[in-house]
Amino acid sequence: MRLFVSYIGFFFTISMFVLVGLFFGPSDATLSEITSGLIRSDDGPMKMIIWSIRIPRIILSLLTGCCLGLSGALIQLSSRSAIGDPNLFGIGGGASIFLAGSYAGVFVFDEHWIFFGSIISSLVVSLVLSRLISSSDLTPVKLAIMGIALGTLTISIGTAVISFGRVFPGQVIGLVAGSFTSSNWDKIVYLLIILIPVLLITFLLSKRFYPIMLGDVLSKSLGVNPIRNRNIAMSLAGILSGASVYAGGLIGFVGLIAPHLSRKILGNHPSHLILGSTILGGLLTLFSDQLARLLFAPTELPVGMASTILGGPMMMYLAWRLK
Amino acid sequence: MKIDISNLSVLFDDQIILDDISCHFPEGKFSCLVGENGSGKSTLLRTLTKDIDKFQGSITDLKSSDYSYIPQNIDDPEFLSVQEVVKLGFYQSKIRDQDLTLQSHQLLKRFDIEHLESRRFSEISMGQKQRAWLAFALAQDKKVILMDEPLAAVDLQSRKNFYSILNTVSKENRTLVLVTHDLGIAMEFCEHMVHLHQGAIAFEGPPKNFSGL
Repeated sequence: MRLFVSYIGFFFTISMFVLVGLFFGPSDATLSEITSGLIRSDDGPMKMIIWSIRIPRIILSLLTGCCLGLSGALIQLSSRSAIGDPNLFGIGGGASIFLAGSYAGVFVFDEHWIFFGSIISSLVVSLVLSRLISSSDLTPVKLAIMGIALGTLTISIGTAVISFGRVFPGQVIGLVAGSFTSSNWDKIVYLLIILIPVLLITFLLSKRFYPIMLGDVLSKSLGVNPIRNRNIAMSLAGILSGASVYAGGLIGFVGLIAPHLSRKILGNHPSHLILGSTILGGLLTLFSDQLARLLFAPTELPVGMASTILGGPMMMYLAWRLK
Repeated sequence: MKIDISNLSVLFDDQIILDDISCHFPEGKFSCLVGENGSGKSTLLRTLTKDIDKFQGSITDLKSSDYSYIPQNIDDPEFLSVQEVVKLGFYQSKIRDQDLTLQSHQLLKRFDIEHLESRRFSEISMGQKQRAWLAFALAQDKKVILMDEPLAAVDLQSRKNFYSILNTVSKENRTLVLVTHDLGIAMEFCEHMVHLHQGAIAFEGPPKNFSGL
């Protein structure tokens, strides 16, 4: 019953932010103009704003957040680290290096190859990380420090690459601090192609990821191969993370907070952790994006800045409790 | 299930850790493997669990479905409650979710820690953690339980309680092997003792026959 109420609560909160995203914006339209734009009754500018800007942006921020939340849950499950987050640990940074290269004109690819390349770049970093975790004496704290170092490293490389090209500052900020200003329907399709299968696979395998939280020795005695399952979980996290960076740049802390909130609200059960982290990741990112969009409108903040304002203190709290 | 070890030798970087040892751990008894630090106790245990796979001689082949192993200094599982840890012990059994809650409750009750069920694992005391880990081991319902020095940081009275629990557990037809350097309590509670000294067996038999170091 409690679970049911929580999910309903998530639904209503998301609906509320969706309405905010639809009806508020810099274009100062009246309610009736927006409504008529929404139901496509005329071909005025409002229809364009609603269907080509606001709705894609809402959906894309929601889906990107879902990817981040699920990715964070997978990393926390398989690394036993309370501060596991795809962008903090450099997994998203892998994709950002690739995207930086593409923005700077180091290589020129079609859009779908850029999407694919982002995913592969993040996948590589996540597998390196998985390898590190599986080496025997890496405590969760050591892992966190190394992960953060790796994260900083990837961002520096990405920034270095991007400074070679003559790139618009807006694009740079969008990449390193997150932005949904260039949302479109194509990106939504790309993200759905990744998110839906990964979510399904995660559900099917979730029971096997759960024992890894006890550590490798104990999960082995439960008949679970910790290294193989960790590699699977981290690969899935890498794929999601790459897709999220392609869609919205580096958005910090959503992958960290979503699983923690989910545990608080829905408990530790693996299927609720996965579903909850996914939904809450979407909710948090949608909220952050609306905050970034409207707080100082018409000037926009990068969405990663808004999510960091929420996530930074949370991370300090978690680190404080870390042993 | 009886554990036999014959002519086992283990080398680490050209250093002999275990030197041609033979001993056994009988079924249905509480066995203690004692010895000083560096005498090779943990190495013997890690060879049994196949953590070390380079050795000479022969040992009983333990599959992961045969034994549960509680290593030294386990990191606290992040996020999980005491009950969730014990529930994970039932991972390989086909028990339904509702029955799991009941069964893990009964196990915790057996070790007098059922009131801690919903606490975070990392928040309970060392002695309580050891009992919880034992409950976790028992939940797996394996024939062999191997524990490596689980009592290092616990006061004397709790240790005595824990040892008498272990004694009753071994009576359920389990082979229970505990690695410890706590010779005094081992002699008081265990039924079979193996004493390792510098990689060799210094004594094996019932503790009453043990004449000291």
